[in-house]
Amino acid sequence: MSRDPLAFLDATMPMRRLYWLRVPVGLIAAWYLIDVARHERDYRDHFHRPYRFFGWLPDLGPAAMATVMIAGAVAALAMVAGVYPRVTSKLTLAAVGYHLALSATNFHHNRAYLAIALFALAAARLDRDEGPAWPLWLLRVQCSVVYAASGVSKLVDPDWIGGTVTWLRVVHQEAQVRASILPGWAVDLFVDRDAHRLFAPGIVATELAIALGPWFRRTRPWALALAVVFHVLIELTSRVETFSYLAVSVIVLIWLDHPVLAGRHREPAVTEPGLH
Amino acid sequence: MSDTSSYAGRRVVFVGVLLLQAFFVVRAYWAPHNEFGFQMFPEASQWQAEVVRVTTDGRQVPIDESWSELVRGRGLAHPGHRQHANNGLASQLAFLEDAMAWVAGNTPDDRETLYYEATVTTWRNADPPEVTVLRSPTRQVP
Repeated sequence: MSRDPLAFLDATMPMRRLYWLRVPVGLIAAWYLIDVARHERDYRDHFHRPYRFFGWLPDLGPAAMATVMIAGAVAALAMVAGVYPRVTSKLTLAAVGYHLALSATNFHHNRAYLAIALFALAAARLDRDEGPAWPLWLLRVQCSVVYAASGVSKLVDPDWIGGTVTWLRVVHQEAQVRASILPGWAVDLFVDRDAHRLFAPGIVATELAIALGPWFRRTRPWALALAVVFHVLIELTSRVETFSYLAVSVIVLIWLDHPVLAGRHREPAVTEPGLH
Repeated sequence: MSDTSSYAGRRVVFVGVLLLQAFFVVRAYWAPHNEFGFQMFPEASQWQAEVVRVTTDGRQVPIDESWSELVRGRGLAHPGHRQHANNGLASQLAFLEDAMAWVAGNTPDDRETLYYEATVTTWRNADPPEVTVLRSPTRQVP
């Protein structure tokens, strides 16, 4: 057993998980970059708020902006197709990173998560069957951070954990909820203030369970199933751009115990010494 | 890259990224826009603003469609409508203040507006409404 607590970063692992992850991540990145090229290429003529630290970034005119975004989208689609994935993953990350760094108005949680996933892909040996494990571990930790940060921020907010926030979100949209396909008893339940004293802690517990569950072999399948159900419900009830698709793709592909993804490699658990 | 440098390099990147991520998570508790803080669906707050141009002769002129042509997204195109503060009130008000400053600084043909002013009513979750006044920097009018 190694004394180096970070020795697991040097282990060689099959690259199948990240290799398959390039498909949904690449498609989502291409969708995002094409949308920017179509609707935001003239961003300089509209309100935007540049970051102080990124003032050195070039301000591109509409034609140049569209060209860079389309080039990024082409790289993303090439990554999906497995064409020079080590190069195309880096080009995709560069295009997404450039757009995010241009203005605070460009930032959304789903785009931040996309950049994180692209960073892991860009760092991985996607051109080989096996490679260093550290990009996968980095993405696993980051995946847990996303859910843990969200869950803890709700846990420490009395309005959130007490159900006020979720109740008001429903009440503000009561007309749409009543016009939806939901049966009357379900709508009555969703607009009931007291029900949200249970719903809200349930949501927080779910986020924390998704953050921690995958790290233990026994709870991993349950955590992955919970994550899928959780994101399906979010997708049905909220507008979160591509977040649900990205989040489900990432957590399933980096954690699911299946020979197609893991090969003969036995997934370590945090309860095992040395993690490998 | 030699074995030694890649050995050290991956540790530097791994630990560096996680430290940076930890910083962003903590920063999200005070920064208005909480990039990489992942505080999702943070509030059920709402806001509405009456935005006016204050002219050099003291008139208060409500903004018109030229505002929504310049300011798109983030719920800022039509601030007069009461609407959900998508990323929380702090983020919404910071963006509104920045938008007023941007419009004030990027409309050189406007030779009468001294500054923009917004009277913002906010409903933070179930709290009673609060009124805040925001103002853009004063313009140099020729």
